[in-house]
Amino acid sequence: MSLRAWRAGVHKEFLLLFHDWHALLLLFAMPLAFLVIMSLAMQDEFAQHAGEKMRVIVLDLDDSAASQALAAALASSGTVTVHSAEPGTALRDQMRAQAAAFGIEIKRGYGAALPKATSPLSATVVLTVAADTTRQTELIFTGTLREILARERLSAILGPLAVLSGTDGFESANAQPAVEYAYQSKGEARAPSAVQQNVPAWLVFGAFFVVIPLSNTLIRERQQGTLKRLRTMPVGQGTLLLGKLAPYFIVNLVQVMLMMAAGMWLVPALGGEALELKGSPSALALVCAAVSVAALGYALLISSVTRTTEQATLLGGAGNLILAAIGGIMVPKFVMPQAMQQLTNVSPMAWGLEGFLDVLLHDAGTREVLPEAAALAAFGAVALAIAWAMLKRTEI
Amino acid sequence: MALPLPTSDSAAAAIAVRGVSYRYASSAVLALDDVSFEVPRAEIFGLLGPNGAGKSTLLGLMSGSLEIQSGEIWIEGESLARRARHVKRISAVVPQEYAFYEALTGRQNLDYFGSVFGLSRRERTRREEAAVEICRLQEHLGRAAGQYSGGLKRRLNLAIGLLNEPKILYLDEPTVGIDAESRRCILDAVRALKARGTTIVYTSHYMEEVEELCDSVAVIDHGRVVLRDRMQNLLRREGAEHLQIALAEPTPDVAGLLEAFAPTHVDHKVWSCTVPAGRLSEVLAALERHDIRYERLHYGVSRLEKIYLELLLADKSQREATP
Repeated sequence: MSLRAWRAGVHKEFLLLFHDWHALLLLFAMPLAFLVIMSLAMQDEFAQHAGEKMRVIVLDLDDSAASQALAAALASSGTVTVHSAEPGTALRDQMRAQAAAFGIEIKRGYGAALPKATSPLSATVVLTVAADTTRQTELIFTGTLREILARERLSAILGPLAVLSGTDGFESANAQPAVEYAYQSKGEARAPSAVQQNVPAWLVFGAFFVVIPLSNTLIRERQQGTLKRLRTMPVGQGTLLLGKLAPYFIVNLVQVMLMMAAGMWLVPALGGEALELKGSPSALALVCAAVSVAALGYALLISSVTRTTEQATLLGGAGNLILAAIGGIMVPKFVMPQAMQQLTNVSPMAWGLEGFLDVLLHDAGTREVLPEAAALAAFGAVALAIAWAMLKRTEI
Repeated sequence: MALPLPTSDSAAAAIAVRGVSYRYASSAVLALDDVSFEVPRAEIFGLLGPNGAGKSTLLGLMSGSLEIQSGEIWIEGESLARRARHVKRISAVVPQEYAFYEALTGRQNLDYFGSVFGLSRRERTRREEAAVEICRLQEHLGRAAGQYSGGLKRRLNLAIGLLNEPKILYLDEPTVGIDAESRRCILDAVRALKARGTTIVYTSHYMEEVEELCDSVAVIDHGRVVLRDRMQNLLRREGAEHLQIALAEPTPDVAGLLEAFAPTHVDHKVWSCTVPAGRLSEVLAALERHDIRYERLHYGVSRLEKIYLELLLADKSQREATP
């Protein structure tokens, strides 16, 4: 390989890329915009899945053993954190001040009404729902509350019998439903926060968008006779292609740094959660490199099977959207049904995202991310080999 | 009208093409069918033929952008199949397309292609300066090539082809669609290169240009060489008894006056007719008698365009007659 020719190729590709503002916007501004918007927009949704509990403020006007037991049962349900209301301040104001999703007012007489099956509890327990609480959350919480109240009433009615039979009431913890997230990763099952999901997701998405500028320059070279001219020069196809791919590898690395920086500083500056860089830097570098190899292979394959820039833009762009949709980029994997979660495994974008999440969520090292990195590298290598053979065979 | 090929030693010729055939993967018919010819060193060789005749395929094979399927090509005594990289080092192609990067400046394009040849910075600079001078591009190198006029683009296209100081230069319609100044510049450059000993294969649809520049010519039609000869021989042989008269002003009387010599109105003031050598004085006397003034006379020399068109017509008739 001629090092001089390769260096010239790298330099030329950078010059062409810097002249193409559309490509730069596509590679840097688009994924960055997605990252910021989605991190901020989906913060609350992700917070619930990530284990951050909703706040519930309880105003206990009954102040009985039964009302305290209700508050304790709510707290031990595992889905909410219970805060006692400050006396003298309206419940709604306290909800607003503490960003609580719900407020519960336990009126006087709750304790007395509880063991009487004929007295409706709606007269003594009033639920207030915050305006920004989603309908789904509201339904889930009201269901939980009803279940707790039913259990408390049952316990109050059957309590004396339990004493007679020697059992010490009902273990509220035993009645608690098991809530598990279907999202499984290495190690513990844990859902990412908005920024932990969105930084790697849009980073992988952006990396694969090198397909547009790379295929466009290659197709233009073919159409304008430049490739034909280069073929008549004493330089191999390997040197030419490596000179073409190397700048985009660097572009991918810059994308990673930019997106990470945005997650660490830009998103929190706009009111979102900051990305915490955890895990081994070498594992992160390995995943980055593997994602880039896969993206470059995909880009070159699209370039070799299309004849016009329009075809490449359409096929490459649409292909990226499909890979992103099924790969858990646009819709996080953990909110997908089981079958769709299985389907994500066919998308190389999912492998890249999984690799990044392993590092960011589970402090994975190089060894742990090796399967994802190997799969990405293999995908890239196969795509590059096919593209190489097709370009070699092309009669121009 | 296919003529026998001149025989010579392959090693002595700048280019020797022997029994080359080529079929594109997407086509059932041969793009080139058993093509053979030679190009002597330091000559300009015209390669003519209608669109789709096989000229570009032949250029692609000779320059190494297409792989030889059958036959052999020798360049400067080296087998192209066996020593492709060496052959590519000593030859260059100037394609019909603007084969450079329009987003880059002229200088950046020259730097890039010079580096692809593996030239050191000093050597590259020297050769760039020489190429820029011969193509008169000095004042335009700082601008994006996409902003160049058609003529400047052709000149940059040529300059890139000169960066490796090629012994063999393939020029594919280098003057198509450009202004007179750029055309003159390119033709001057071609002559200068020939004078330095460069062998040039020149394709063009402008017959006057080919006639003016080329030392020898081959015509390809339907993938076969249907004519191969030195330009002078061709024009003389085909033009025996042919008289072309360029009048000082349009005179329709010429048709009647030269009726015995089968006159043909070629152009505005140009007539041609067939005059046996012994009767040439009769024509001149008739013109003088009727006070018809003329600017010039060409006798015994045909025009390439006429030969070319007649040749293609004859080839077509022959193909149609063959079952």
